[in-house]
This record gives sequence, C-alpha cells and structure tokens, in this order.
Amino acid sequence: MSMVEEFKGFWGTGVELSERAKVLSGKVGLKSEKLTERLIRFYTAQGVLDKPDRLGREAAYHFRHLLQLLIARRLVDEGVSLVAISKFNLNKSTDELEQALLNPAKDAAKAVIEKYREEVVTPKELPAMSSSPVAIANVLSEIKDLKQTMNEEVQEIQKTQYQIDKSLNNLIETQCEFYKRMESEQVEMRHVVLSTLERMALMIEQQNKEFRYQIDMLKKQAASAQDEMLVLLNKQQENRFFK
Amino acid sequence: MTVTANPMGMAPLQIITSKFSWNSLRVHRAATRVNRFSKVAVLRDLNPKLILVPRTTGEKDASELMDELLEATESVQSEVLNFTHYGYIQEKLPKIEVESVLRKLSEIKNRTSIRVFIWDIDSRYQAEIKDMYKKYFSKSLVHLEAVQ
Repeated sequence: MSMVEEFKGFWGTGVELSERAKVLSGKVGLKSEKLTERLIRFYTAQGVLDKPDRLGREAAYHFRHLLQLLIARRLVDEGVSLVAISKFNLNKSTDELEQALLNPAKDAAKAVIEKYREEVVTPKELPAMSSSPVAIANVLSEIKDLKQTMNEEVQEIQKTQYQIDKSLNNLIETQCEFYKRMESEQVEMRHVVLSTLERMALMIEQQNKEFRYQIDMLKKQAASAQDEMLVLLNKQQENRFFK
Repeated sequence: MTVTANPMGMAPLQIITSKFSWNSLRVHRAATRVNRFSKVAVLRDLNPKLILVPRTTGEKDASELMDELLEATESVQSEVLNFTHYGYIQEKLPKIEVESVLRKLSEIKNRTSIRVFIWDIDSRYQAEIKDMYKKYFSKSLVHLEAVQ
C-alpha cells in the first residue's frame, strides 16, 4: 500500500492541511517546519496550489492540494521558481503528482526543464512587425544587440574557463611536489631506521661477548677455588692420620 | 449539482458519489463537516462540481441556506444547476421549506450565473410542487417540463 493512501480521503481546512502535510513530509524526506497555514494561503494566492474548495466562506483543501504543497516545498528548496512550480503543479493529474512526490528525482528533473524553458526559451518581445523600413531597422538593431550580448557572454565564459584551467594546473603541480617531498622523506626515514637497527645489533653482540668472557672468568675462579679446597682437605686428613 | 449532505445509507449523495466514481471518503468527510458547521460546501474539482447543503428538518424557512447556496454557485460560475434535494422525500412534503426555496429563486432571476435549472422532484409529490411553482413562476410555466 502506498504511503499516501491514508491521505486520499482528506478534506479539511488550511490548518488541517498543514498538519497532514507535516505528517506526510516526514515520510517523503522533507522538512516539516515551514509547512504552515500561512504558507498554504500564500501558495494558493500565487497559484501554486489549485483553487481551494469552500466550506461556507472558508477555504477547504483535499488530497491534490496536499501533493501540490509538498512538491512545491521540495522544488522551492531546490531553487525552482514559483512560476515554474505553478505550471508543473496545475498541469499534472493527481496520479502524476503522486508519482512525482514519491519519485523526487524525475519530478525535480521535469521542473528544472520547465525552469529552463521559462528562462531561456521564452523569446524576448520584438517590436511589432510591419513592412516599414523603420520597423525592420529596429528588428535588425535588436538582433545586433542580442549578438553583442551573446558575444560578451561567450567571452566571459571563456575567461572563466581559462581561470579554472589555470587553477587546476596549479593544483596538479602542488600535488606533484607534495608527493615528491613525501617520497624523499620516506627514503630518509627508512635509512635512519636501518642504521639504528644495525647499531643496536652491534651493541647487543658486544654485550654478548662481554657476558661470555665474564662467565669464563667465573668458571676459572670456581675451578681454582675447588682445587684449593681439595688441597686443604688432603692436608687435614694427613694430620688426623699421624696423630 | 447541489445535493443534501446526507452521507448515510442509500441517500442521493451516496448514489451520485458512486455513479461518478468520486472518492467516497472525501465526500463523506465533506458532508460530515457541512452538517456539523451548517455551511454550504463546494467541491470544485469534481465533475460535475458538487455543492453540498446541510440537512434540514423541512419545517423551517430555508432562505439563509439558499443565499449561501446561490453564493456558492456564483463562486464556481455555474450555468446549469441540478437541484436534487426533493428527488426523494422520505416523510411528508416539507412545504414551508420548498416555498422558501422557490421564493428565493424567483427573486434572483437576473442576478445569477445560472441559466438552466434542473429540479428533481419525487414523483409522489409532483402535482403539489407544480402548484407551488405556479405561484412564483406563473409566467414561465412553459419551461416546467416533467421528465420521467
């Protein structure tokens, strides 16, 4: 069952719409704090939402308004203009709006296209066409102005591109230097470690020799002491025998 | 289309909702609100547009509700209004109410967007309502045609 199923039978005031929107916004990953009754009234006035139903003289909203409100909120966060959102919201069926809310990537892409059409494709109003030479001259001068503006913009873009390329080259050079420095430091470190290890091995060997020498000395001392003891014992036995 | 907000049982509202495959939950909710607040509601995105009028006892003058109803029709610029409230009468004919409705309609002749008025009448009370109609629309009686 779709996560919007429970909202399909909704019909209520702006406050109730705001409450439902806050609940559903959590489920579709939108921030809920901005979804107020005031925003709903503003969107209604701007034509972002369909004209509301009426209960007496008050506005009443339903499921379609809920979808339009959440889609509008998401697209506004993505920087799409209210005019483009209005076109998007009012021209889609309720099923399409539901799909747009549940599949935000497609929805955003469509709105961006709308925005692009609105900003770029809409032609500038030209002077009224007539066969008079003055009107044709006006049109030609308008075209000339447009061409100049376009050339200026192209130059600006080229300048920016050049600066970006320069910055990229600098960045690559800095990175190369950094790697070189790192490599030489690594070699140095390896050398220091190896020489320290060699020195330690030598010291251990020397200490080992000294230790062995001391053991030999001790053994010799013990042997001479044993001989002296034996001589003394023999002397004592001889004395006892003659007495 | 104007219908009494009676969301229960086999009332005209239920039949119409089912006939046009509208979201019954939404219509039910709207009808409940209409009765609770005694206000006329307009559901403008339905086709045909639906105007819900609160339930009445039939014993009182309905002029105020008629004012609200006509305001509602103006808000959606209705040119054709199907008045279904007396298509099925459960008890006796609510004469006071029907007379007040007819009186109100006779007064607004040229101040409304409505051009065609379709009046559903319970066939058991056709003669009585026709008589009341004559009282207010004697000159335009030719337009009163019974459709079975």
